[in-house]
Amino acid sequence: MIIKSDRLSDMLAEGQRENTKDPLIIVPTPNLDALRSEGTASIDLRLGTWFAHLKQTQMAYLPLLPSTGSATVGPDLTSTTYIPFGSSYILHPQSFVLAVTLEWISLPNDLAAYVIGKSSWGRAGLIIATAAGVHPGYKGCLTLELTNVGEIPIQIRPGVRICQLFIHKLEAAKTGAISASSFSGSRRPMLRPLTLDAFAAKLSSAYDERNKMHEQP
Amino acid sequence: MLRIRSLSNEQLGRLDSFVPESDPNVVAQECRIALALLFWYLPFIGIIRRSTEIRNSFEAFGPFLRLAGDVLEPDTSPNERKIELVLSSEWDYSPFMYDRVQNLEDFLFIGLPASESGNPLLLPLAGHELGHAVWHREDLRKALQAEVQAAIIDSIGKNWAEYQEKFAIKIPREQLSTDIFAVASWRLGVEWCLDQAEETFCDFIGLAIFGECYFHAFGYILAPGLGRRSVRYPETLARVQHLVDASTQLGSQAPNDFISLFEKDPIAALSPADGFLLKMADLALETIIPRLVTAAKTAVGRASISRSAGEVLVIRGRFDLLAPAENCSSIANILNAGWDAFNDPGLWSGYQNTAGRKAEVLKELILKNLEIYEIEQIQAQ
Repeated sequence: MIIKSDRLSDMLAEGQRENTKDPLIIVPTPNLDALRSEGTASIDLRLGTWFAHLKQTQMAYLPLLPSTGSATVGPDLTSTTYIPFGSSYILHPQSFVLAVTLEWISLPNDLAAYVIGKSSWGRAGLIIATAAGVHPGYKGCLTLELTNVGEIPIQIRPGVRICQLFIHKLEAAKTGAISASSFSGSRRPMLRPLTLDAFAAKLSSAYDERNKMHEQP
Repeated sequence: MLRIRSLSNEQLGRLDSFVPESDPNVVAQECRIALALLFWYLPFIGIIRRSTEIRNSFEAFGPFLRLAGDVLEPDTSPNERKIELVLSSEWDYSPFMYDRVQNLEDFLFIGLPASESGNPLLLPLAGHELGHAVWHREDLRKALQAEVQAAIIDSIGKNWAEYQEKFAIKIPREQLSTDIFAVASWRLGVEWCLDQAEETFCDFIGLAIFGECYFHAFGYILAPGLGRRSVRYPETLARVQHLVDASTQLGSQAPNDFISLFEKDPIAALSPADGFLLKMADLALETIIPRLVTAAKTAVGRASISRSAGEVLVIRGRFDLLAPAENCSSIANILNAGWDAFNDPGLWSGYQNTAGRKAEVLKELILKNLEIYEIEQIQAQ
């Protein structure tokens, strides 16, 4: 069930009170009065100050998977940029950049969210996020994957409303354990290497062993 | 950078104006000026360049600039302040501060340790560096000169036999301040004492601005000591004792057993005469400590920097929820809450996924809180 903005406004106001256990927090707090009167189904979020893009390298591909050699995804593969308030970032056609929301989000264990682009940006060719799910218990700034699919450069600026967050109530939510992927605690966008789960690891190793057998003289 | 470029272009214009018939002596002189210009400004270009490295805590810049304005230009409204700040992270001799640089007089160059560039918990040390700017602006060296000189002469008088032995000057004691050779013998001690007084005053400024978290940052970077005794700094244990003694007057409380984090500096490798002078400088410093405390209290008092234990608790409560706080009234309160969380072994024990990342996440959270604080200040203007 998507939570309507007037209810979200109440929840955020409640979270500002001291001693509230596991509250919904969005900082900077949106204008609660406006949110209450809007009657929408989402909260607008703003663009943050940190950006990260992949560097041009001589590598044939991005080594995200653990079995793809010694190179790993890390600071060496990305270039981080800080854009202060009042300055702009130009996103060129077909280019891709990781950004963050200005807001630091803290979701309680019984709420999840989806981050979706705003139509005004979408019509200009800016795709906001592709990994849109935000798990319960998430803490941190949301990473945005920005792509300009249009044909002309787009100017973006920290502080502008860039995306919207739809917040859902989880059914039968239990307090306590939160999935490891839900936690970020980060204010900057980062490219993270993938880890293979046991199922995928087993499949990969079987394939690798068969290849090795074929390679033997 | 634009100002340095303009100065360089000006000099380049003069060099370009020379013709083959120009006087070689004049050409050589202008070349010397150009080289001196390069020699003088290159380090500052380096600092400016390093201030743009993404390893820096950029979120701290705005709040710290406001703080510097509050301290150095308390009577000027924020929009009309002239002060400019370059906050950098440096490998050599950091933390440091350059003030009143020729042609860049309105700039403060503060360098914090590069190895801790992303660590906002060390920002209180920038308060010490800000103290140097207060010291220069209020011309405290000049104001304290006579008092320190009198204290040095008094100390030498109390150790007269040792002085005569170390310096082999045979004059009546009352000529100590008039005999030209006697004056030359102790003048260096006055300079050393004034240098030590400046460092002590800067400690007091840092403490008066930031409160308890200054102790933590100071201990983090300096304990157990400098590893050598510098004549220009107070002896480490004495320096720490001065901080602890001044804490109540400057509105804070030293952490328990703070002094035990430090060790006595090794004895300085000095000649017997210089060793004696250093001892006299140390004794003279003790006599002016109350005045330094008062001067720091007055300077920071004019800035009206809010420090509230209640607000620190509220911010700390937000940190416990893994969220930044809003409506903070100073960066001192944010950093005090940050240090309180840093020193809490039970921090986020209820969260499963913070193991091994607590310090990293806390730094992120504090930097985000500084950004939130800055946003609120901009919105309020």
